[in-house]
Amino acid sequence: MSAPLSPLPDSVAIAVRNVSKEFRRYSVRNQSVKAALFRGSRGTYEDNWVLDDVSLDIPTGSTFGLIGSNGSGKSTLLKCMARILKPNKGSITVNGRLSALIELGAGFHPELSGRENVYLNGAVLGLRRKEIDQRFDRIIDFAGRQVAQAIDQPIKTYSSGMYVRLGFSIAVNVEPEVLLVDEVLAVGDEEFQRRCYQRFEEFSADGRTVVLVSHGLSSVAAMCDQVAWLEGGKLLHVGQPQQVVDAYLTTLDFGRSASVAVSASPGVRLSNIAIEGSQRRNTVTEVGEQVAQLRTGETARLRMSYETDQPHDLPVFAFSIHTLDGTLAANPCTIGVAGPARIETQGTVELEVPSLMLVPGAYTLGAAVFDSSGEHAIDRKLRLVRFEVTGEGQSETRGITALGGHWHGPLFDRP
Amino acid sequence: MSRIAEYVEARELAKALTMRDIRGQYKGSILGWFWSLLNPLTTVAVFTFFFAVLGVPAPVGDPSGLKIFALYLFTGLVPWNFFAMSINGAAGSVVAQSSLVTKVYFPRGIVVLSKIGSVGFTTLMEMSVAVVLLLVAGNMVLPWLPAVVVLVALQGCLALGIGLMLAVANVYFRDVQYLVSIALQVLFYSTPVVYQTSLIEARFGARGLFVYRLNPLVDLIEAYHRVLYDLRWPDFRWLGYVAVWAAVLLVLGGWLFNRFEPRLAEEL
Repeated sequence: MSAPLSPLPDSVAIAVRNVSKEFRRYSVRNQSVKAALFRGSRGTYEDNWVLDDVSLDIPTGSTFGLIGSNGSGKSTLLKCMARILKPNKGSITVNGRLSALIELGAGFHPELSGRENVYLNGAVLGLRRKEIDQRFDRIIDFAGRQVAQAIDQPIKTYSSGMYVRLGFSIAVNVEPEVLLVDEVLAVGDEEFQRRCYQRFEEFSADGRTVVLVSHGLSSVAAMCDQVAWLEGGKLLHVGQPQQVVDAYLTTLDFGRSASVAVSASPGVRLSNIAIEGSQRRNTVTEVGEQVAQLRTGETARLRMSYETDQPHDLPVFAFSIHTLDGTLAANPCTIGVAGPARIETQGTVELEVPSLMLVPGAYTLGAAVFDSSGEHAIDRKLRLVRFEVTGEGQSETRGITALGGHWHGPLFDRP
Repeated sequence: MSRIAEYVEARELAKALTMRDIRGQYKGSILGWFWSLLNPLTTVAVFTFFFAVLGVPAPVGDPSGLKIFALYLFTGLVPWNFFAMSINGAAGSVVAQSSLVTKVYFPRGIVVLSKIGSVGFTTLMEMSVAVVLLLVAGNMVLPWLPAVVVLVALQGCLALGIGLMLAVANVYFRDVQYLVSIALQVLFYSTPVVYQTSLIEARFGARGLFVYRLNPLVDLIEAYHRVLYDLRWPDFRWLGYVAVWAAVLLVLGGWLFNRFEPRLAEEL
């Protein structure tokens, strides 16, 4: 199937060479003999390059991240590495045994017991029966007590959490030399996720290679040794995780693409969500957008307007400030504050922040209004407005919060 | 060659998927395994009843002297079911396993192989019942069982060749599966499952019989009748003809499948 290639040096786990992959995007698809005969064709499609001349080396023993927006080709590249898809051009060579975690519990049969499914999924992942025998106790142990107790029950009786834990547990206990992971970590409770990450760390400590496709940028930055950024099927950048992630983040247009607007019940609508500093400065982003620019420690005003068809008693208003990778930085709200007793028609809510203690960087502002319980959102607009914080002469540049304290000690006390 | 090595490498997976099919099939049903026998038994009962009503005499086994219509039907139906179910199952196999095919790499032919394997297991069960019934009726079939094994193997190759082609075709055109069911119905009546080939000869003459026998299934099913019901050797020249069909279809099917295999995951 693959052309003979010169053997890879041991330092490279996966070599991707000039890989291009094209998908047919059908506008008309005749997926039955009847339709194909009547219309005289199988359909009309245009060729669509999902991967365009991608080359990279993934070093043995490293944890390697692939990032990029939806449709950038990162999952396609992973599937090509896993041999599920075959590139139209170029080649991919893998050093050592490879296991791909693209779907947890691939091949699970709902009527069969957990035990039978462990053997089934193990075989799907390329293990021999004897090898599964050796790993069985470890697999069950890792999957947790709940799964262990139900191991002889049909898997259709498992909760989705148990299903995922068992699937993951089998996959990581295959102990491949190269493990490909596609975003499956987004499932499971926090405790289980923590153990998964821990397991990946053990993997790389053992000199195994992990390739990770993820949307969780902070985890990629924290876990990976190297990150590759794909956009539109092209490889844009490979390098140090923090650098690549930062470069990627600056291009994200949160103002449009990621705003989440939920207008649930008829009632209050929010608009004119804005933040401004005492200087009212603006700056223009790479994508030509006007955004507010503030300084760390500056007085800031956060504002939202509301409009309502019917009166609401004791509404709760809230602002939210997120970092670009989605971490909530602040979430001030009117619970416990003397908020308005009743709102009718329209009005404006403003929050004055005496000193905005955010470290320099880019943030997004959102707003929400809740019913009197504070639990049910009437309108919510998350990550709607982008703004920037600068900090000339600011000593605190990392993390989210600038504490702005005063240092004391012999060296500081000089007049 | 490396492809064959890959299939040898993946034999554990083939076994696991076959076992999954076999184990999963009747789990959760009250009658369990009995279901797989109920189908041919019902067909046998229906045909026996109608032929009795119509006054059609039961074929006489030569040289066995057996004269039980139900057993004649059973010895034809078991191999027919093997053929029909494996073709039907194989045609839909890749589409049915699309979640596996799009998420994990393995030689895709395994899916077709394991489907035929699990149908083969059902056939084994049915065949055991047939053998017991034949023994009870006084037909000493035990010395003939090695011949049955050869026939089943030959039939398996035939089914695999056709199955590989249909499995690919069904990925591109999802109604292939329905066309297959219709084709199988026609084939059922153009194959001596419920009647004897002598009927064709009597009606259409020697030339008619020759044309009739061009369908490789005719002599395949006929061979089962002869070995199990009549207790005599099949017509080896015509069986050789069947073997040529099986070999050609297997090579053709394998080549076609291999050619389309890399695209299967994205076409699903």
